[in-house]
Amino acid sequence: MGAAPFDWRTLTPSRLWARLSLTVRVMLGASLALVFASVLLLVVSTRQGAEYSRAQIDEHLASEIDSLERAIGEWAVIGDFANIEQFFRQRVGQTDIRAISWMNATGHFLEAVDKDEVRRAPGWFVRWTGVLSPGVSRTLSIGGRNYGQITIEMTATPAQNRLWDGFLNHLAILALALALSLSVILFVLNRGLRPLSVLTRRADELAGGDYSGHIQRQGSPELAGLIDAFNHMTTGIAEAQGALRDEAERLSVTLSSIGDGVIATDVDGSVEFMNPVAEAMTGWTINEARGRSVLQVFVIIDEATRGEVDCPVGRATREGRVVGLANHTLLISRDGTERPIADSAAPIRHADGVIHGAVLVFRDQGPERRAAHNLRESEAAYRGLFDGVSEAIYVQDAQGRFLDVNQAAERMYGLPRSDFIGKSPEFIAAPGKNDLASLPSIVARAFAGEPQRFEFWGRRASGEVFPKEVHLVRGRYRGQEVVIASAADITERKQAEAELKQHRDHLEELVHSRTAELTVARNEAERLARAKSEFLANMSHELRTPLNGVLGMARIGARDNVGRASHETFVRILDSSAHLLGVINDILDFSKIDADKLSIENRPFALAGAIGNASSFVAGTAQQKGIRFEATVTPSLPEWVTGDSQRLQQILVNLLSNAVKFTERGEVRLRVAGDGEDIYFKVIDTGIGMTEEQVARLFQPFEQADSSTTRKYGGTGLGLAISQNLARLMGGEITVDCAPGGGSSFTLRLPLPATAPDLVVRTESVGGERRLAGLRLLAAEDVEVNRLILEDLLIHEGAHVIFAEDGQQALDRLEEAGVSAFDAVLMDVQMPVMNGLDAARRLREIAPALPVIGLTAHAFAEEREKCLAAGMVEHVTKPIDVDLLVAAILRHARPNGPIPSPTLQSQTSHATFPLKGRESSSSSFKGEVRRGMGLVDWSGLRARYPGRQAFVTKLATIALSSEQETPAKLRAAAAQQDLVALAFIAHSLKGVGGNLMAQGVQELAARAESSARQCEPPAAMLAAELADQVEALLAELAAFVREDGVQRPASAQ
Amino acid sequence: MMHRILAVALCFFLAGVTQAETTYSFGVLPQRSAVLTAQYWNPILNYASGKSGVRLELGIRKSAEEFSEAEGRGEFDFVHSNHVFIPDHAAAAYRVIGRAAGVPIHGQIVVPEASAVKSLRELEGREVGFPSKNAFVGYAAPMSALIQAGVSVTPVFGSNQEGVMAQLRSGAIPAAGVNSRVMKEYAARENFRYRALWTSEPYLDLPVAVHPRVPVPVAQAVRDALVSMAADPEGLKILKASAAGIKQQTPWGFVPALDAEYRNQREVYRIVWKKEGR
Repeated sequence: MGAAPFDWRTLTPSRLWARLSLTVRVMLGASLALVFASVLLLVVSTRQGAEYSRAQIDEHLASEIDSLERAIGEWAVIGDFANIEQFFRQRVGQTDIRAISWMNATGHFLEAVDKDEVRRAPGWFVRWTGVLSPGVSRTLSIGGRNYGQITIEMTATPAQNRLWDGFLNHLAILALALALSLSVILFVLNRGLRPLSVLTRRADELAGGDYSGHIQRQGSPELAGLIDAFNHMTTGIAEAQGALRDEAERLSVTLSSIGDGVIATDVDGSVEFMNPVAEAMTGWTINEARGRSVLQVFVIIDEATRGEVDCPVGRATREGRVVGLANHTLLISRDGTERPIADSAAPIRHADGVIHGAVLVFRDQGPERRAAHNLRESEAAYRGLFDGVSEAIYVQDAQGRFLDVNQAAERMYGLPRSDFIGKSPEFIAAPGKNDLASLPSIVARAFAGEPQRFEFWGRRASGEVFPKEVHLVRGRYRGQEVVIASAADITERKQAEAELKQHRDHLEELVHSRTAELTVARNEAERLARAKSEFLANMSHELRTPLNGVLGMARIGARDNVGRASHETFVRILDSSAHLLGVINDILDFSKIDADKLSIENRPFALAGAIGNASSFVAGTAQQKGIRFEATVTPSLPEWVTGDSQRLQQILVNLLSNAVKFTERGEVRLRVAGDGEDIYFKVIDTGIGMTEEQVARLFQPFEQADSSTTRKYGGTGLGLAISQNLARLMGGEITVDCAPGGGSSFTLRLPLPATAPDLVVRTESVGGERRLAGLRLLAAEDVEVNRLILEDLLIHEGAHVIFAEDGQQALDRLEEAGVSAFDAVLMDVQMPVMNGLDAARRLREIAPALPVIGLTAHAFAEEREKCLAAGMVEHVTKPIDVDLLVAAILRHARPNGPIPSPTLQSQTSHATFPLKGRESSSSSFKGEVRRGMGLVDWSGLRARYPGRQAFVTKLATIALSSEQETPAKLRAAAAQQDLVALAFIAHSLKGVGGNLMAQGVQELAARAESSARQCEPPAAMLAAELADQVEALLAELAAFVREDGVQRPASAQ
Repeated sequence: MMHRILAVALCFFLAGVTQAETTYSFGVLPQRSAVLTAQYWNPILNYASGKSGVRLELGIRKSAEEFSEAEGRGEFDFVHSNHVFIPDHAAAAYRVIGRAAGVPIHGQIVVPEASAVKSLRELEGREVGFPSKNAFVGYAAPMSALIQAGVSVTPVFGSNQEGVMAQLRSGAIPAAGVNSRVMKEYAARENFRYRALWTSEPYLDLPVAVHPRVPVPVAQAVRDALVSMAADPEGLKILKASAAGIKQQTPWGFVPALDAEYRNQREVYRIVWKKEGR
């Protein structure tokens, strides 16, 4: 490589090191390190081995002397030297003991020596390791007597030989490791440094300007990383070069495209660069100008003096700062054209700050001067407009101060413009007539871009006060954001408005006056409407009373004239009267709805009971017409719901009656289903149906399908209107779906939320337990059958019972026996002589602590309230449920001894029509059970009194005798329209029917009682029907008693 | 006066020289290993030497037989052995001057506690270990009992008391004749549980006897030194240390004794020796 010959005389370690290649350096360094480490390892391991050997020999020596002492002790005591000597020889031959000797107290000496040792370790090694042969002597003393001295000398030769061998082995291994390591290093370096030469070659290429291509990644990770970095650097340099070229290009384009002329010179003022604008303005091309003095190319004179002006380039390069040109400078181009210009020159510096040229930038001022001229003209035009408009215009700054006003404003206030400038609007405000405090915020809002409009009272210079309307908008004025206000004098408009207001006030007075008159008229109309409703209500009542008389008389006439011609007449009177009574009742309901006096109850009731009642009402009529009637109830419906049971029944009766009325053949079906809280009652018939037009008028009061309907079927046309109103009052509605001749389908939807049944405490008898044992009861019940049943069940439960047949008797019994003779009183409500309610009131006075439990045949809330109001503590419905009655008694009775605590559980108080678990049977409403035999559910009755046939017979016998006169009484009451008596008898029969498990009688009696209490026309008819049924019942009871009398003696034999 | 003082001093000197030059052997019947015997007796003899002014040296042999034969030949000046009562040793004419303190000892025929052997009769025809043929409580006494019981056994000799005990413990022999006290000490030391099939009448412990050649003052001095040892705190300390080495129980030390007290032992030897035709 042409290196200078090395001068060995100047050789120093550092110079020598500097001349060595990397491979030699690594080899040399590694060799030194390995040799040093090897020697160190050899020394340390040999010294450690020697130390271990020494410790081992010492330990062995100590152990040997101990065992030797023990071994020869016996022989030494006895003096058996032969054994001792033999033992010594044996030990020397077998162990590392070199010599053993023993001299006894008498001077007897024994010795054994091993002479077969060959030492391989050189003397220096033995001295260096310090592993020498140790020896020790010990006196053999037993029981305090000296038996001689033992001496042992151990041999170190085997240990020395082992150490020496190990030393040599280690030395050989280390030499081999050194040779191997150096070979590997040499190999690795040779292979590993090869990529460096490639790198060197590539660096040379890069220096030559060749940026293309990359070195293939190779070699160790470090070198591969170096190659990556080199490649990255190459890429970076190539990109930087490209960027530099791009930048130069961009600069050139920029300079060429800007609107100013640019001339660059060197430090001597010679032109180096001109852009196209400079070429155009000077008339020189760059090629012509390059190298020429700038003074020759860029000729400028003073516009005013026409004298020469100094070129700023010279000053910029001299002074090193930006130099501007004076105004009114003209550039004279090569062709003599003159242009006003503005220019400046700036020095160009190297990175080290040395100025190496200047750049001259200049602009043609001609267009600017033309623009300024135009602006002045525009300003004059604006001023003309500003002052020419009729509205006053004010220009205000953000604080509301006037910046300018037009001539109209001057005229409006009679003030010159100069008086306005810089002042706030307050100075033109009429004192006390404006809310000046709000002005700044109005101006601020307008300034924010929100146009403002307001009225403002101004004061002219003459002192005159006037109103004006002001509009504020945001605008620009002389380069600043301002508020522009325009104001118009509204004095005339204000005057017009004042007049208008006066007219309006007058009009309002008129309206008030008329309204008062109308209110009086409306109140009068409402009063009249109320009076009408009251009149209707009173009238209906007044009409019903004589009508009931007519009905009764007609019924007697019909009954007594069967087979005669007049019978038909009486039947017609009966029908007409019944119809008339229905009409009156409808009118009464309608008038209540109309007068908004109809209230809806909201209390729990058994859904099935309501459906059953309504169904039974029409079942008879349907049967008479030969129409099949069927009621189907979805089993999933709740057993108890909250709502108005009576009104529900009224609607259902209306819908069902209509269906039966308008159906000549086929069937009427009631289907009850639920959807959430809503329950749907669908009444479907196969009757005449209706047209769409008829349906549209259907729910209007006094409307029927058409007038012929009225003629044919009768009715007031109020029923559906009332039903619809009731349904709506209850939050539901009635819808209809039908076609003429295709039957009708009315759907009543009512929200009837499911509810828990009335919670009662029920105590059930367990295993024949006598739950009322020891209790003394007073029971008032007028009906003998009921008395019998009550007596039976109370005695069966272990109570002592005293009976009274009416309220008065009950009071008498109490007086006779004393107040403390009873624990509780069971009181039927409806009794002759003195009813239960009166008796309860008296009892409250006589014996306030004695609990009275009411027994009634219906579960109406009204009835219960009456009972409680009369001072009763509870109310149990008939027919009596034993468990419920027992629970009620236990709850309130005054016990003489401990009473079993009742079990709390929920159960329905009385469900006559259970829904759960089965479809309700349609046969229940077909009326068969009301005719002839089979009124009493004998099997059910026997099940109620299991094994007590005699009691059942007794029950039948008593009912037979006590109710013998009942049919006649019923008929008499019906004939005399004695609805009170009728209700009374029906009430009793309801209880008797329940007790005898004659469901048909019970239901019919209930309806008759209900009708009688409400003074409804069907009451008399129902009473007659009930009388027939009671007769049939009596016949059935008589047959039963007769058969029982025959069978029992027979079975007794 | 001066002459008298010199004469007395010379007498004492001469006496000291004489006594210093004469060493009396004190043979101990091997009942344990030689080292244990030396560890036990050397401190006692050193004490006695110091107290009596009589130089005593422990005399011991490899086995009881060897010892017995040497004793029969009268080789020891003093002995601690009951072989002096063997009929054959009468010629040596050892005379009892004292004995080891303590309650009389018994001879026993013992078996390991777990052994199935329950009576002497069950030993008929079997091997029974004994310390040596000359042992008294270990051989003569048990053998005389076996002879009198009509039980014939095969004697196996273990050279000393503890040797035969070690054989019994290892199961090499089913039963052994032993000194009851040595057996008890051995069992305590080695944690060995055993059961006695037969126990003899009480016999006094081994006597210390003196050969007729020993001058009476010397014998007297030695006897006095030994007898007074337990009463001297220094002597008692030595006795305790020696006893501790072999786990010997109290009382320690020596008491005076006479030949007449050992008459029953002479009788036993006589019976056995006669039976065995020795």
